[in-house]
Amino acid sequence: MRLAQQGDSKAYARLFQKITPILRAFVGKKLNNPQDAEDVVQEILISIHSASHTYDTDRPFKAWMFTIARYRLTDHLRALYAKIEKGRDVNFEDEAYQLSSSENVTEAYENREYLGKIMSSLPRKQQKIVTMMKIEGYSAKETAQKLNMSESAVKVSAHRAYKALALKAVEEDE
Amino acid sequence: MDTDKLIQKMASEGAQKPLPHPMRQTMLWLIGTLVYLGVLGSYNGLRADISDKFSDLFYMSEIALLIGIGISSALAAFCLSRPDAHQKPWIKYVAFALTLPWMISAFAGASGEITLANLFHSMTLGQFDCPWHIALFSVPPGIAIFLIVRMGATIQCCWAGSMATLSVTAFGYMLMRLIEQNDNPAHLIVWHALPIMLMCMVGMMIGKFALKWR
Repeated sequence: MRLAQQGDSKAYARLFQKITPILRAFVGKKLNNPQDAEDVVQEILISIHSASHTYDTDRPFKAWMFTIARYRLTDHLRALYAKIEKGRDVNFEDEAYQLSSSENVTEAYENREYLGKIMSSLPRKQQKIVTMMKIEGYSAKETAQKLNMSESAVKVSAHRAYKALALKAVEEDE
Repeated sequence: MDTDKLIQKMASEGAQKPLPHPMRQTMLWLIGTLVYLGVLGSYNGLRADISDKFSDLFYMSEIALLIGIGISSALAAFCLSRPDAHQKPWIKYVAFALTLPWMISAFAGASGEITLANLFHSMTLGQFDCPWHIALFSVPPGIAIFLIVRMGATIQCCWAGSMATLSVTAFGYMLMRLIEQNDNPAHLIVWHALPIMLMCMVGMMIGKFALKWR
């Protein structure tokens, strides 16, 4: 790092190449999904790069590096848990995107059928709101005008519907 | 993006030039702050009994401890601008360790008793000019220290914000003690020490938003 801070780009590349396997092992202990783990490793490498000016060469490098790695990993885990807590890992934006962009017709049909099945568990009004906002692309304001409701009532109803759908999706998965 | 390509890209950008050592940052900031406080002190004029106070051991130790708190918390803030807090996890507690002797020297040597009635009476006096002045004295050095800390990559942003605020308010308090001729301990607690605690809490919240490394 001392050489890198003096402008030696080869030493900088060597440093990254040397620490990447260490970081992979560190992240791999906490994350099972290899793709997620690689994403986090890349985030850590970017963070090390962007904080390279805060490293004091008189101090041990590994302690500095692992502090950043722990911070980024915690950030990732916090975001992951928040996502699971909020939507139990079901993102309806993604679902809608998958339906519209899927190249595989059978897969698209199965997705639509799956979504239709869990949607049927909702009250009729909530079904209508979710369909308008997430499939037909209306905004909350436009949906409110069409359904003769207030915008806040639409938002509350939509929020409850997403929560119910997420729970239903988890039940289905189990 | 592939990790190897990412490494090549970052290597071609190169590492950034290292920040000055926290001690050096503290010294530079301290020089600027002392010049600013010196100008303010000479503009406002020191308290009339300052020559007598300089021979008062409690008063002098109070001022020395305030300077100690100011310097140690500024150093802590600059160390906390590094993700690993410059590998000195104890640094943020030094200012707190100095707070107890400061309280002893500030309130033991002050004239008057510290009773609930006195504190309540002091509260009813509404001497808002004291915390207002401390805040005003602290704002320019405070902006400077926050900007310098922001140049780093702070992980403990609440700690960094509160340490930066404690530092500037300790110097603001010190200047008020040099200017204002009031040694009533109830007044010092209600209109000096408590507002500083509040300011530190505000600094902590500002730190959470302004200093967070994203």
